Amino acid sequence: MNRSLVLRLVLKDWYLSRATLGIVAVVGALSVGSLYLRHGLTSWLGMFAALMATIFLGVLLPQQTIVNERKRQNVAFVMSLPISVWDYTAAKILCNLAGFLLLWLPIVVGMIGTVASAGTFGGLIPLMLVAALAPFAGFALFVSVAIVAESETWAMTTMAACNVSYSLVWIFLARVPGLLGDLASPVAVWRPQIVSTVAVEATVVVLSLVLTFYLQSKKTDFI
Amino acid sequence: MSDLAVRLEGVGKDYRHFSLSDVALEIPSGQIMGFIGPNGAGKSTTIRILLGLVHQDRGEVRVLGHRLPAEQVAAKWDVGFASEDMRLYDSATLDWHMGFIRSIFPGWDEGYARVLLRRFDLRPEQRIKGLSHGQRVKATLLLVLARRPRLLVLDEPTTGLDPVVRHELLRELADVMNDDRRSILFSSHNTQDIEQICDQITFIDRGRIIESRDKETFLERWRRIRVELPGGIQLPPLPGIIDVRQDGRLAVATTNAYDTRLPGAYEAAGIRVQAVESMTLEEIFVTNVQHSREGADA
Repeated sequence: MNRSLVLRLVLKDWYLSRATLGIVAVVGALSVGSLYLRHGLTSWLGMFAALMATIFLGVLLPQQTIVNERKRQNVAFVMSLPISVWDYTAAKILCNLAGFLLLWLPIVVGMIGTVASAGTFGGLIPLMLVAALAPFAGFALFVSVAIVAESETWAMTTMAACNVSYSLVWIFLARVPGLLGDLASPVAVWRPQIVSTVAVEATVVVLSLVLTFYLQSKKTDFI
Repeated sequence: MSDLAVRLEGVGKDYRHFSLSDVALEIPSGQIMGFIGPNGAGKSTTIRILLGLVHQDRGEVRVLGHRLPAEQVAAKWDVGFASEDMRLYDSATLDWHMGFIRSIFPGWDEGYARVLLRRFDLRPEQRIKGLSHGQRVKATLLLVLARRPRLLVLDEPTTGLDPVVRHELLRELADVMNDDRRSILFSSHNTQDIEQICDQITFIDRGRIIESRDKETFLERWRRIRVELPGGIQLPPLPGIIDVRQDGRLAVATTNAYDTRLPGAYEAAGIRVQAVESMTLEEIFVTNVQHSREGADA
């Protein structure tokens, strides 16, 4: 793998997506800041805005760096550079994963840290983690499909399926007896259903990224 | 081997509705190869195989001595590629693109890039989305040429360009060839462009190379012979005549192996030869494709 060239491709994609990254960074900082104020409605709005910011980031970053690049016929330009399909795949995953984590992680840590430091809302933390990991899992799946399928239709279908899945997760968790009552607990309650959901989300992330490399290595036609 | 920029031997690629079959192609260093074929003939597939973007099912591909697709990265350091369907990033400026390419290729020639900016009348600070089609093509070629690659692969670069821009590009490509280590594979529908700048010409149709040789030989070997037949005399079958069109007593015979003895052979049969005409590359191409298809369909 040509590391130097992969890094240049990552920087190229970040430069071209700088507006999205900047807007999400600002919205994320404001959201976590408003959560830190611990002022009833403002805090709830902050939490909602922070989650929405990560969802937008998880959709817009792969959309701009992978789907649009192919739709706007920039891929031939990139692939004319001395890189292999493997280098291209590594650059796309690195750019998206690092770009996502650089914003998602501070937002999630800020959000959960603020709630945890209050000492009285610990019961919110497990569901906040589930809610925060959902966009990460959806993002990883979207990146994978966008790279492998090379099709905007499939990428959009995946995004729609992820959105439906978020609702299904909440329906599933709402039916867990006693779970809603845990929200008022001052300490986090890690029920098996919560742990399973987190494990499934983490598995989706890892599997998506590993499968992307595997399937890309099997391709014989790239453009 | 070392004096060949490109060598394809027995290359094949199968798709559901199209196959590239037994493609053999050689481009000597310092030569411009014109690659002509109708839509869907296999030009772009062949070019993508040359860049390692499509892996051949059969055959051997060597580009600048590198075996493809395994050594595509090593080969692409010295290959400049531009195609009609290649786009730069709309939201970025030409200057940003130049900086991006400069940061990758140590051989980037900044002085030449500045010369090309002037010759092509491009402004580096302009965003790509503000450029016309012709300016975009020129910007793409600037990025490719200023790298000074040993092999240029151009897939329909002049499609949709006005005559002035086409002339500018062709002049620049002719200048590139002042360096005899450099080679160009130039695919185009426009046979005028090919005839103007190419040394070698290859025709491809339905996934097969139908003829490949140097331009002068093409133009010398192909002739149209106009004859007038006296009543009751049939045009005799002569070697090298691949097509005959007759309208009453007038006939036109086309040959792909012209020999100065051919008109004499007709005269000896009592047929009056009105004219022996040279053919344009476009006429040669069309006749060649039709002849090839008739042979394949027979």
